[in-house]
Amino acid sequence: MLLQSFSRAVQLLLSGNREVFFIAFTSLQLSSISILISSLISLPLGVLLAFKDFSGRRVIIIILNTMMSLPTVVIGLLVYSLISRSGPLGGMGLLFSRGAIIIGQTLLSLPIIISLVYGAISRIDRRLPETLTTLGAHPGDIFIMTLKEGKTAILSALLAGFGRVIGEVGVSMMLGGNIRWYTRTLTTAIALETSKGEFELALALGLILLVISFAVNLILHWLVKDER
Amino acid sequence: MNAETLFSIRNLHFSYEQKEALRIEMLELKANQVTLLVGPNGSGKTTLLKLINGLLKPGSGQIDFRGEAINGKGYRSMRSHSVLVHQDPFLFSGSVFQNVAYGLKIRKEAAPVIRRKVSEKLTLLGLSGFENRKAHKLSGGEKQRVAIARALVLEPEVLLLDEPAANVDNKSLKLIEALILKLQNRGATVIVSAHNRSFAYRLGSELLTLKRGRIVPGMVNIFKGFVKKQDEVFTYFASGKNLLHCPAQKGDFNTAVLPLNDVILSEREINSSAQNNFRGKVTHITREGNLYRVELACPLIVQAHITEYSINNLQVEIGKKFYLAFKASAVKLY
Repeated sequence: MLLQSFSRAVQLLLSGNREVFFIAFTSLQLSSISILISSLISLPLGVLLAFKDFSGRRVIIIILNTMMSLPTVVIGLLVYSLISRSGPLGGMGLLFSRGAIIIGQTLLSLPIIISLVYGAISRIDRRLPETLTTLGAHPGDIFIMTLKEGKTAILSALLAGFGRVIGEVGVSMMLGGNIRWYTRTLTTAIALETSKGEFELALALGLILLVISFAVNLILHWLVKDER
Repeated sequence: MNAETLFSIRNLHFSYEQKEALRIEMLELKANQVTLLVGPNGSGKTTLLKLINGLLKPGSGQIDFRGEAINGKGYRSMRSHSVLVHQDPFLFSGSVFQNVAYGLKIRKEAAPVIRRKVSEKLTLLGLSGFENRKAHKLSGGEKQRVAIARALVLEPEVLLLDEPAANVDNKSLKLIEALILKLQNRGATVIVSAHNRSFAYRLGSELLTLKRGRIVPGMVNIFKGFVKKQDEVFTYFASGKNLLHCPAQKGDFNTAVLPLNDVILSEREINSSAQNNFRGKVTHITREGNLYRVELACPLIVQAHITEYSINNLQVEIGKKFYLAFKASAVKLY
């Protein structure tokens, strides 16, 4: 049965089913945007956490580490309560939209990316900021140079965040609503098709997800090897 | 010497966590000379260099650069006129060229100017042709020289070098030494820390000794000069108008070092085994613990440590003339 479904799934992929590719594209697009937004927040925060000694820094890091293992449905629930009709942001009509998924996925990836970027930057030599300062670099120059020096580890952090959001189902389901041709992503589609008994389609979507994850891991592996 | 005061420090105090690292009541660092900070590891040399470069903030007290506080008005001036080269310096990943060019790039210099200046400084440090080498693959001595080139390319008025002689090969050491002497001849201001005594003696026209975070008076006379002649028994070292008898040894020396304890003061010329006998006038007397530091102009300035008993016995006072004597073997050449 499984083997049969598998060969049908491959056939489905090769036949170029429009909806399958739309779903895959939606997943990639939403996850990429989420990671982009997340990195815009995470990079300065990570640098700040790593280089600036301020009180409460330890606490922030502990909270971030805890949030890394927050279940996706809890984040879904939190955002849901904010953007649902009766929530404080209900007027924006965000519920069951692509924007809602992006918000949820951004929140989901933030703790992971900040923690990993912080880790990456704290491993950068402490002499870097001092060396740059004495050479006359301004804070902006130091920020850019820090990202350059930590680029492989930072990229790994972003890819790890990407891996987390592309494979999550809780946020997409609760906030996106799995609307066909709109907010249906690979994971929500798999959940739906499986419950309908459409194993071939579910498996085909699963294969795509697997290929994406594989590609991400390949890049990660290659980056880490490159650093050694 | 009436050189301009570049850095002046007052009531400076600095601690790492709870541990006191530096306490200086008063210190002036002069322009246009090489000042050597000497002292054992952990004596506060690096801390002092970082403080005057604004990389550390003093716990209390004030540091002025040309009369303006470096934590205020003087910061920009200090930053644009002085560069610190760290001990075991950090090089950015990338090429030697990218490292040396960095400071010029952030100052938005034109590419041809950057190329010319970088190549000039690399040549000065014996690194011509190193432009495309990977910075992380260089040896310790080469890294040190790249870091110095990276600082020099900005043509700072003040160069601060933290232990440039540590962890470098002999060739790099010689190059760095020659470079500092060259900078000195051009009238640049260089402040160097070193725990390598011979390196410090050869380079410094001014020596500052640090011990457990405090500046302590030096225990030796340092005479700059050159070897005038040599025979089988002595090396004759000329410093100013005086000629010092030193133990016979071959080499290219520019410094003679004489401990303060090895100088004998007398009212009359004494006939002794001491080969160095001068007559000089007392110019300064300062108390240091239970000893007195007496300075005489012979015309070479020689300092001696004398006990209170001798001060009273010989009636040492400013303006009075004395004979002083020291053995050739007390003088060490560097």
